[in-house]
Amino acid sequence: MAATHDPLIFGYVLTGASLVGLIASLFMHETAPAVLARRVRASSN
Amino acid sequence: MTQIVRLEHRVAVLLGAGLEIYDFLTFSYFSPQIGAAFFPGRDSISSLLAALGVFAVGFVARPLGSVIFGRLGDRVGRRAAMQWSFILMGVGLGVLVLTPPFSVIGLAAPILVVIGRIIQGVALGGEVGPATAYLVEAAAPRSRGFSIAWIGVSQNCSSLLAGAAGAIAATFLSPADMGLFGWRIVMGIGLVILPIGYALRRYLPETLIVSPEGEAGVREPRERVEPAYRPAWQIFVIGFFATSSGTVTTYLLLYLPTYSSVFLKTKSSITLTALAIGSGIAIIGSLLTGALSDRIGRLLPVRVGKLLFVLTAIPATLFMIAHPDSTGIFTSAIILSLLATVGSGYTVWLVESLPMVRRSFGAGVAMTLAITVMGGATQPLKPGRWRPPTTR
Repeated sequence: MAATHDPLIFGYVLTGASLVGLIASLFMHETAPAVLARRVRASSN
Repeated sequence: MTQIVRLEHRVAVLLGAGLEIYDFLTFSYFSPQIGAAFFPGRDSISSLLAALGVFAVGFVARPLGSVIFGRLGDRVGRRAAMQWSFILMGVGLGVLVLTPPFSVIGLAAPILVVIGRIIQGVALGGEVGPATAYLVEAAAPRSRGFSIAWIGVSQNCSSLLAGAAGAIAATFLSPADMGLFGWRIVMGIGLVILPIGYALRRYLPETLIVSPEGEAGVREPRERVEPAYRPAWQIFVIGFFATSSGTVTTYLLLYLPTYSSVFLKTKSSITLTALAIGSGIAIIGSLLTGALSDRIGRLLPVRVGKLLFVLTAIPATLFMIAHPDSTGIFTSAIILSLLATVGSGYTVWLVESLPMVRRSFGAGVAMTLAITVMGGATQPLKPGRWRPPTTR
């Protein structure tokens, strides 16, 4: 953050970090019990 | 079999998460004073760098704690792991707060402080896995997201407490007294909390269920619709990157007062109010997002929150630069804190994705490694400018 005097570095680092999180979330699977239960019910009907 | 986990049990667990942030912030605030007390060098900058180096040592020790206490939590139980991590936290913090300065006991002072920070790092790292696993397991299956959201509440309350304690000390103590004993009082507040938390933790109902055959992880059949488990290494990698993202975001938002003071020359009263607003937004947002994720799933809030944050971070920063007054700083703090909170639902996902016998270890190591690597990377690299915002 301080290797540069460009104040925009704050936004750059935040954007990069969130991008990493967004990409990671694309590999996640659903784990919420309520949602899984709904899916099970829907598939059994 | 239904767990009976009362409010005081949850509070006992959440105190650890709160203490982590309190320790992090107060050590950052008072690095100049700690450096001067234990590492008197030729100038204040070298003392400060030594203090931040000790801080880094504590960070590096965290994954070791997550391995030790994570295994303990998965084999013996969450309660035993959290009791021991709390005891170690008290030892680590006590050593730092009570060790006489270099001018009194010489070289023994920095040595003791380094040992204390290593113990503290092990304890804080060891706390993560068992505590997050516990909060998920102690909740009813349909309210796990809401239960774990209280970690965010605890951490944001701690950041408010740390700021308030620093501000009060700076108001009533001279800079000399602050260096002599003021920082010890502020950091010592954690020591007051520890015995209370430990006493409450002694009576925690255990959530790691072991069958008569010795098979751990057998739980009640009620609401038992578990996800198909993926290989643990995949969960670990995804959890590491998701937590890295959250850690960098959280720490940078905690640095917002310093950033706006140093780069934008914003008045400290505005920056501190922005921190308080951000914490308040995060407290409310955590609970709402947690409850929402229980209803609509873990994925949607995380993805939407992260996507909006990607699109908003640079415009929000530009807005702050263009308006380094209350309008710009408050608006950006509100938007960024809210979006960061919405995208923070990965913790419950990580715990739910792992089988019960691997949760404490797997979730703890993934999160602690991310916090160590990314939290250390976002430390302010110009420590000469890093001062308690309350004392500007």
